[in-house]
Amino acid sequence: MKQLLQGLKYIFLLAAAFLTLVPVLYVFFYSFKSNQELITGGSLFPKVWTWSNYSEVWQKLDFSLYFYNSVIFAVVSSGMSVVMGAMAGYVFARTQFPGKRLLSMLIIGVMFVSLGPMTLYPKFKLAVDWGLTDSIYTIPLVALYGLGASVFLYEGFVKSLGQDMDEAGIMDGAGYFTRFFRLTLPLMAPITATFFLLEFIAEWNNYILPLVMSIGNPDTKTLTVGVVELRNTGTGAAAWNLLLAGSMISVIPVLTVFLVLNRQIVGGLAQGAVKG
Amino acid sequence: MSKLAAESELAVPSLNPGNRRSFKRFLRKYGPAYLMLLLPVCFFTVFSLYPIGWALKYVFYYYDGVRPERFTGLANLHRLMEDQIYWSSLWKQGLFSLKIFIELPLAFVLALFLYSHLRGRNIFRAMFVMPYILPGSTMALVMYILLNPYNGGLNQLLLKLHLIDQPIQFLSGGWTAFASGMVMDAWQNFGINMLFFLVGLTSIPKDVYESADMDGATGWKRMRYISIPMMGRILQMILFLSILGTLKSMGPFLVLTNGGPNNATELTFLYIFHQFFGGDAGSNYGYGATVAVVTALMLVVISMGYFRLTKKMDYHE
Repeated sequence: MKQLLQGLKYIFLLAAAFLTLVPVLYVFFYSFKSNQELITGGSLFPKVWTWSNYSEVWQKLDFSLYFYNSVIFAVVSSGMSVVMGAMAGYVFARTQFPGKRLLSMLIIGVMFVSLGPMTLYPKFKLAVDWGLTDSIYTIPLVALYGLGASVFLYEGFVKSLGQDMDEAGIMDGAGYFTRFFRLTLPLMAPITATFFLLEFIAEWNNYILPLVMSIGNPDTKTLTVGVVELRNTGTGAAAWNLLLAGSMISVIPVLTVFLVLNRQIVGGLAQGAVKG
Repeated sequence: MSKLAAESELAVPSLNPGNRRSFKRFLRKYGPAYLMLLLPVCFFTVFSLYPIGWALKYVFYYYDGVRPERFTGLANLHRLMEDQIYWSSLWKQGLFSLKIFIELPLAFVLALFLYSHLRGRNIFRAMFVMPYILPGSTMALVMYILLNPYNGGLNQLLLKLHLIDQPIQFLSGGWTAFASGMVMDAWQNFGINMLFFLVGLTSIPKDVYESADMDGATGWKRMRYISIPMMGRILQMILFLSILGTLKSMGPFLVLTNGGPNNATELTFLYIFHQFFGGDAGSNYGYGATVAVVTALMLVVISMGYFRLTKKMDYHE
C-alpha cells in the first residue's frame, strides 16, 4: 500500500515535470529544424540539425547586438539597484536620521501602488527629454525606479549583524563611509551575490521597459524586444525557424545561469518568502 | 532630537554662534547618512515619485504630446464612466486572476509531495521553479508558435493522435485565447508558489507533528489541523502576492494576442498600456493617466480590505 502510494506520487511528479518542460524542449529541438520541416511537422527531434538558423539570426538579424544590449542592460541595472539597496539599507539600519519614517512610508506606499504601465509614460518622456534613451548605457538608469524591497532586505541583514563591529570601528576612528565600505560591505557579500543574481535574471527578462525605451532607436533593443519584434518583420513572420532560434538565444543565458547556480537561486527565492 | 530642533528654532532670528554650532553638530551626526542616501533618494524621487505625481496631475488635463495641454476638469473621469472597454477589461482582469485556482492547488500538492523524503526532490524542485526564471515575453512568443493552427506543435500533435479533425484556432477565438493565457501564466508561476509553500511547511517544527502522531492524527487531519493553520502567515502572503500579482499584471497577452481578438483578452493593465503606447496618433494621455489612477485606487482599496479580512489568519503574532 505504502509503495503503491509512493509510486503514484512519482508518476504525478514526473507528469508535472514533463508538462513543465514541454515548452522548453519544444523551443530547443524545433529551433534546429529547417523551415520546411517545421511546416510539414514530424517528431520532436529534428531530422537534420540545422545550425544555420542560429548563425543567420546572430549575424544577419542583429542578434549579436541585441545580446550585447541585454547584457549591458541587465548588468548595469541590477548592479545599480544592488549598490543603492545596500547603501540605503545600511543607513536605515544604523542611523535614526530625521525623516526616516517619512521616507520609509513613501517607499512602502510606492511599493503598493507601483504599477508598471501607469508610470511608464512619464518615465519614457523624461528619459527622452534628458537624452537617456540615446544609448544602451543610460537606459538601465530608467529601470531603477525605486528602492523598494531591497532597502528593507538590506536593513534587516545589517541589523542582524549587530552593532559590535561598528562600535569597534568608531573606537578606531573609522568614519561612516569607512565603516560601510570596509567593515559591512564585505560581510554583505553572500546576500549581495544572491540579490544580484535574482535582479540580473529579472532585468534580463524585462520586456516592457526596454520595449518602450527603444522606440525610435532600434540600436538599443534588447533580446527580449528583438525576438518578439522579429515576428512582425517580413523575414521573421515567414521563417519560424529563425523565430525559434532567436527565442532560444534569449532563453539560453538565464537557463544556463539557473542550471549552474540553481541552489543559490532557489534558496534566494525561498528567502524572499521568509522576508515577505 | 526635539531639544535640538527647539533650540535651532529659537535661534533663527539672531544668527548667533550657538545656532551654527548646533547645525554643525547636526551635520556631523547625520551628514554622512544623508550623503549616502543622496543617490538612492534622487533616483527614487525622479523615477518613482515624479511619475506618480505626473499621473495625478494629468487626470485633470487633456494632453496629446503635440498640442499644448489644457485643463479639462472632470472630463476624463466622465469619459471613463462611459468607457465600455474599460469596465469590461476590469471584469476580464478579475476573471484572469481565477488562474490562481489552477496554480495554487497544484503548487500546494507538489509542495506536499516534495516535503516528504523523496529521491530527487531537489531536481524536481528546480524543474518546477524553472519556468519562473525564463523570460515571459519570449515564452509567450513560443506559446504563440506552439498554438498556431497551421504549423504549431500542439495542433500537429493533436492531429496526429486523431483527437481532432481540424486544427483548433486557439488564439483567434476569444475564450480559447483567454484560457491559453491563463494556463501559460499558471505555468510560469506555479513553481514559485510551490517554493513558498515548501518554505511554509518546513517552518513548522517537527515536534508538533510528533505529538500529533502520538495523538493519532494522520493524513488529512494532520493537514487540516496542523499544516494549514501553522502556515497561516505564509499562506496569507502567498494568497496576497498571487491575487495582487495577477490583478496588476497583463499576463502574457501583450505578446500572445495584443488584446485581441476583438478585445477579448484586453485586461485592464494592457488597456492602460495601450492608452499610452497603442500606436494611435493623437491619443489623450490625460485619459490614460485617469484610467491608471482610478485602477490604482481600486487596487489600494482591495489590498487594504484583504489585510483587514485576513488579520485573523495570523496565528504567529
